[in-house]
Amino acid sequence: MESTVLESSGVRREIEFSLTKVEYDAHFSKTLREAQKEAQLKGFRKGMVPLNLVKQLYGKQLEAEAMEEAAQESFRGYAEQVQPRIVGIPAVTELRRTDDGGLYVKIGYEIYPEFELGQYKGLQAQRIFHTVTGEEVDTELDNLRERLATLEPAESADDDDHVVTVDIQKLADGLPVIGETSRDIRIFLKHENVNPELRRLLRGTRVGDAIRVDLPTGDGGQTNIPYEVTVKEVNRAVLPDADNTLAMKVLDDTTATIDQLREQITLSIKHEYDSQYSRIFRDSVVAALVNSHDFDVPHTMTHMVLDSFVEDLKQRDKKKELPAGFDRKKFESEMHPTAERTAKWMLIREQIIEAEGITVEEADYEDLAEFEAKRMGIQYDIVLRYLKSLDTTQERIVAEKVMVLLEDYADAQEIEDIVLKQQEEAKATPNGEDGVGQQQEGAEADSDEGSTIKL
Amino acid sequence: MRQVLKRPILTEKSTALSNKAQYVFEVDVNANKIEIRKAVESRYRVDVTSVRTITVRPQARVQMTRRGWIQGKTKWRKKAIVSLKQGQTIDIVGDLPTEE
Repeated sequence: MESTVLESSGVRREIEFSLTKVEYDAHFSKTLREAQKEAQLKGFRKGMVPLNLVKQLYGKQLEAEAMEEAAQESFRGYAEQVQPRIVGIPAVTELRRTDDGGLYVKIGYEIYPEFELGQYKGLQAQRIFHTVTGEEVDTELDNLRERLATLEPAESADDDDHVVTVDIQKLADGLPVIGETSRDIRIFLKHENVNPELRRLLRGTRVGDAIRVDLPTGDGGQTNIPYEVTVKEVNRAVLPDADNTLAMKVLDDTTATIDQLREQITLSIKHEYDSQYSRIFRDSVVAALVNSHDFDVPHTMTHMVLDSFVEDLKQRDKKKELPAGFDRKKFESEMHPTAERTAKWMLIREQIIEAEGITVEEADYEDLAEFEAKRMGIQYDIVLRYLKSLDTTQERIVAEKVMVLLEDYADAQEIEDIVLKQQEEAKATPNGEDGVGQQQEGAEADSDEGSTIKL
Repeated sequence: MRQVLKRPILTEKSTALSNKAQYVFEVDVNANKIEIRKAVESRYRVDVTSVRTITVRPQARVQMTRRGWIQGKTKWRKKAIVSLKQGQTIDIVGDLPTEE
């Protein structure tokens, strides 16, 4: 058997095998004998049908099987001998009998790209941070007071501190549409998401009043539909004072003070910003790393990532189905660059894991279980058992370890978000520069995917 | 026109006989040994040395239908074991239709 490896592109390979008649016949005889064992024909016991009869009856089908088997075995032999790092499943691209009774096979496959791991220590990236202001804490405190407001019956909705309970009836040609009534809807006039026109009309209303209002509906709210709104109840919202009593109630602690509550709110806001900016920081580190490595990504890997994107989309649906009218081709074409970068990052990550000797220890499972148990409020032992049963946990732990490592190694430039926003605004302001220059800058930022942060 | 040779019979037993240059056919019930010999010789271009025949009697068959039980019989059949001159063979398998 002769074999020749052809390199079609960076990671794509093709291999040709030429089998002689004798070599091919050996495969065919083997296939024939296997078929004989299973052949059943009236007049013969199972496995006793003569070979020539089996050949006569099922010859063409068996020949196809034998050719496939010969192709697979040839490739298996080559793979065992040379041991190329194959990605995905090799595919037979050409398979035919030769004029001299032999067999010609061509198999295409992809290999893991060989690349040298570049610099992953000291990557430069901006680490954004946020300083929580007293104003933000006040706003959050007000929201909290609104949520805990008590309702007192009122004659009329004199101002926006009132909550109006209404029935909303849809109208068509001035007549109510049967079955299109929403009952006991509570509207807090102060809420910013209340339709301004509805708010205006509800001001000053009393129990039993009915108003007509056109409310936007449909996609983008471009169509107005008439409704009749009947007031059933009017209450005044009495907000609790921002004092120690409120703190005790919210923190469920009889010794809590308003200062402690404010501190708690500050921490909570800071945590929100920190996790958001941490994601951005990590993304920018990964983007910098991906951009600094230039190698071909196997199509198989990109497609595997694309498949996982589609699967993820399915999982996010309530019925675990793809959205109606989902165009897979369009989705794949749009997501292809992202999938390719993800696949590239996975390959780089593998090298980092190897270079750093990152492994998963029992303690890592325990730490993760402790974190998740606290987050979900489930018993630690159950979470630990569950995490250990998942195939993805190990990968998750390793991925997290790599990210922590890269964060530690990174040369982070600390910048406050407000300063960054000012810088961005200054850049965006035309300062005597021509439009072309700005356009180029924008294009560069887009191509970096994450290295420039837009607030 | 009456067809003397109906089909070759392929069973484990007939396959074993073919190793001894003997081939089994199902033949017309009214065909005699001379007609069978001539039919085999003309169809396969071989020399027949002997013909032995077996007449298979009809077997009773009962079938249950919605109208009740129907009693019947299978057809009379005749089998012929044909011996060929030493060294001659018939490719009975090649004569069979393939399963496509």
